[in-house]
Amino acid sequence: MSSPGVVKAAARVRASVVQVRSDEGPTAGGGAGIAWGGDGLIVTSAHVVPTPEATVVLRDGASHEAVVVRRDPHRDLALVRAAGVELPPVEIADPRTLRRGTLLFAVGHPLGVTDAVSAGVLQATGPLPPGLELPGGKRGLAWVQADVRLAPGNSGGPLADAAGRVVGVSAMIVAGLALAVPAPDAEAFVAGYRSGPRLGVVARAVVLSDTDRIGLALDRVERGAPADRAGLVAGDVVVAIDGAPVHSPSDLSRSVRRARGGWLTLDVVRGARWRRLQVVLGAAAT
Amino acid sequence: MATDRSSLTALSDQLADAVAQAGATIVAVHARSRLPSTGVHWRDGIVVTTEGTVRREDGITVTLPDGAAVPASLAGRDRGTDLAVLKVKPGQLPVARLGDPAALRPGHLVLALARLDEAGPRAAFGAVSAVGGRWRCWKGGEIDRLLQSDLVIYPGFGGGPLVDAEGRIHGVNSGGLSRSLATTIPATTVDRVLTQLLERGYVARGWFGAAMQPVRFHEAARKRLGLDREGGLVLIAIEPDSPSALAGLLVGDVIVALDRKPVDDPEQVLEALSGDVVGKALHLDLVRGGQRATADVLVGERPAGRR
Repeated sequence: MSSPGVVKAAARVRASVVQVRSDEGPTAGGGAGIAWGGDGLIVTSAHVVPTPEATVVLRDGASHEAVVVRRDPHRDLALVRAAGVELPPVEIADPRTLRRGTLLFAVGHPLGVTDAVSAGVLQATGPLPPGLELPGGKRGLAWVQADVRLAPGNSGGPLADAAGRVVGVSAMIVAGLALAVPAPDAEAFVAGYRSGPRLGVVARAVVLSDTDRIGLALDRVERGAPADRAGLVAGDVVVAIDGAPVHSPSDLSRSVRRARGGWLTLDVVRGARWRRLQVVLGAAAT
Repeated sequence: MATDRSSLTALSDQLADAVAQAGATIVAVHARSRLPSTGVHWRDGIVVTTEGTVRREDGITVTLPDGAAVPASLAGRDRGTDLAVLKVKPGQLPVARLGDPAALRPGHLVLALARLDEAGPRAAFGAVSAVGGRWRCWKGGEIDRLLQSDLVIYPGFGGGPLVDAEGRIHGVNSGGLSRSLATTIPATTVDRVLTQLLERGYVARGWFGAAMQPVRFHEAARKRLGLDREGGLVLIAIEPDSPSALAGLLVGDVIVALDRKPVDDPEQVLEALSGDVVGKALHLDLVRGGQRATADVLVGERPAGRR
């Protein structure tokens, strides 16, 4: 193997990798993030940033406050925005175009070792093989499955091919196998933020007092975003969307994507009062 | 930079070629619940897998590289070397292209391959970690050559081939022979066991029919008997009608040499019985009742159920 080849391909990818830290969650020690398309946008894993805010640490050690602008726990993706952070965006490739056995390498911060590279090969891209189960029953999702040794701290970091193109976002390890979200899914996730109808909120699930029902507490409402224009404020708790009870924050993003007519009806609890609001969805300002 | 990147890409392509080439000769074996294992199309119509992954003897199917599921019949199994042989209809897929296991040295890049479903072969990548001579694994079988690597034998990879960077197959990976490093049953052992399994469905192992344990002679006894070593093996049980019984051996006899080679460890006897010795005579030097004696034991075939 030509080591300079590995070094250069890795160096190219490493220039776009940051550390992403959150005060909570399974990777409180820090996960990784990938500069994706400029504007301070950084893709990471949803489980790396369970909180609405995060800290992005660059390779020179500089630390930047960042906001979680989009989160999909089911697909385990999150998009954070660190204003003013401009890193070379990565080149991406569709892992479905790669042959099985192709060399892949991961960049991340396994067990706190920053910007570490581990190498291996592509096993498959698609649903998991028979006999392998994911916790939480996420059956049917497509994964880049690789024989690459990952550790906590790799989450949210890139899985790249021999040419230094990112093919996946490292997410988890199952039975020793590295699983990454295919790069096109991450690309669509980012594009959804950039262009799609959106609310402009960051929400988390809470249990409503006096009942065992779930509500979505808004931790942040973006100024000027559709939610803001409809009168939603941070601290509001959404209990139903178009009349249907909510179960998880992904209900919001899903309803936004599927909204017919360009608007949603939200049932909201603010303090002791209940109110019903119409939100006219809009495209994100880019 | 362009040259460096293209050399890495070239290696990547070469590995993918090796996976495609060797992968065209492997099948998924469905012989247990839930998780399939992998089999190698070793000769036309003959698939080799690991014995430990064959949990049922009837209703076995294999998934071919084109995705078709076809029936397979169990032709034989050998727990000792962890190998099982299946028969499928000939002419359905190419036959494995074998490499010379002796050519692999520590540091050589290798792949472990598996087929688990219709979607294509899966690969793990690593290096040969250790090679060595003949050894006997804990399951009791003799393996012609030690071949270990740092490959991860993922669920379902057992029974799959060890493949070099040129796509040649060097043996069958077993998840059940060791814990730390991945162990490959080399092609020479597969060939040897395969031949016996196809002939009679099992591997004949030598049978002595006696239980024994190490014993030491006093210095005085050793001198009086003219023994050059102080240890031997005392017989503590003789099975009726066994080769030992037929040779007239008695409980309390002490074996001091086997075919003129001194013995003081039961392992040495097992080793002597592990080769192609069924039907051959072993010459024993004994101490019986304080006197030197000899006996010839005609090695039998270990009865079914104890293989």
